[in-house]
Amino acid sequence: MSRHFNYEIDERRVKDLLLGNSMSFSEDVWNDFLQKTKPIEKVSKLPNFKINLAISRSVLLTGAFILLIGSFTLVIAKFVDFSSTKSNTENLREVKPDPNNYKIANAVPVKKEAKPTATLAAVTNTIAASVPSMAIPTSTTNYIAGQTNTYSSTNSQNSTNSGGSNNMIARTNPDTSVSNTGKKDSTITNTTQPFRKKKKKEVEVLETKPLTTELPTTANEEPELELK
Amino acid sequence: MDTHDLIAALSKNDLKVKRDLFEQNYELMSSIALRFSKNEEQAKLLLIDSFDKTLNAYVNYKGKNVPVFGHFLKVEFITGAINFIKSIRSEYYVASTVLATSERDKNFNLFESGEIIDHNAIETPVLVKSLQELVPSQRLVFNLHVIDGFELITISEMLEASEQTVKSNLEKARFNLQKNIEKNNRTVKHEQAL
Repeated sequence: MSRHFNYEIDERRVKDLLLGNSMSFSEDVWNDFLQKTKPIEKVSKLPNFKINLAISRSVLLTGAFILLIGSFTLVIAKFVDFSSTKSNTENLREVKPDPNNYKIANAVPVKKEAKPTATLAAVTNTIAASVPSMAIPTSTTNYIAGQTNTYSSTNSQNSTNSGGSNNMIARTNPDTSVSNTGKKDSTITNTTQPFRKKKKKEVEVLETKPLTTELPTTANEEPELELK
Repeated sequence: MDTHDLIAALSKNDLKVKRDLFEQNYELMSSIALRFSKNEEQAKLLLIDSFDKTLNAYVNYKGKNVPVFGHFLKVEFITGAINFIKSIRSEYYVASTVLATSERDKNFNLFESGEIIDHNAIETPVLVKSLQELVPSQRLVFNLHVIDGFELITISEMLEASEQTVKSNLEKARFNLQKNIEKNNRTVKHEQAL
């Protein structure tokens, strides 16, 4: 309120004047009342059941979430047709073993009897090529070569000849062939599997190259530098 | 007539009893209606609506001791009048841009008479008209506090507004009422002179 404003109204007088002011009664007002109002409807009094359930907010929220998730589940479940899946399972036919499948399996071992001699040469050749000459001392190679000569068959002449040149280690047993490095050579194929059938895989002969660089020996190692 | 008999008669929609109550309390109802509404037409509508609601509330009263109709009517009729005024949203929720400040500093009208008005000699029609010209929210607060004697906190609960809003509206109502009285007094005098 501004400081220039002075409230000069006497409120007591105003109150008396306004309380004494009224309209005169007229039939028009009463008729309007009858027209515009409806008959009074008494609301039937029901017994008051005051149930005070102290439900906290957390319980209400949990319930609301459960309802929400449940409703979503129902909605999603409507899209899944369970009847069709049942029919699919029923229509699955039982798989019975076909005796014709075993015919090939019986025929395979007959062929494999002649196989080891064929692969042997390839194996021994590859091993001979892969063994470095510098890794094995000459005395041991000679000994091994001599041993192979004693145990070799007619096919093993190739291997003994190469053994004589101190370049390889070979055994006549095709199942086990060991190189000096102790690692399994990828070029070796297991030819004694009798139950492999159908596809005949040709033995892949990988090209091997002799090591150009010499392997480090203890004699050639550089001496460690001494810290001053 | 006993209160229970009165309720029984009203629940049976006894028009004679209704008319008796209407006539007996018409003076009180019309005085409230005139000062709460903006003109006489609205006052009649307010009277009819509030009286009907009061009768319904009395018949369906759920308390143990049923009050006398006269006391019940005064409180319930005022509540009905407030609801009626508030229900006219286009009028009630209009923001009042009138500032409760004096315009004496800004008034450059040389022809305006600087006549001093005796506020203790105001006539009732001028006062009622000045009050009816107030904004509904200010009119309600002025009536409830000055005429009916409610406290500001009670008024704030009745109007569903904050106490600060009620205080502000009361100050604005007092300022605007005085201005309206001055203006209307001059107009009346001018008409009488003509």
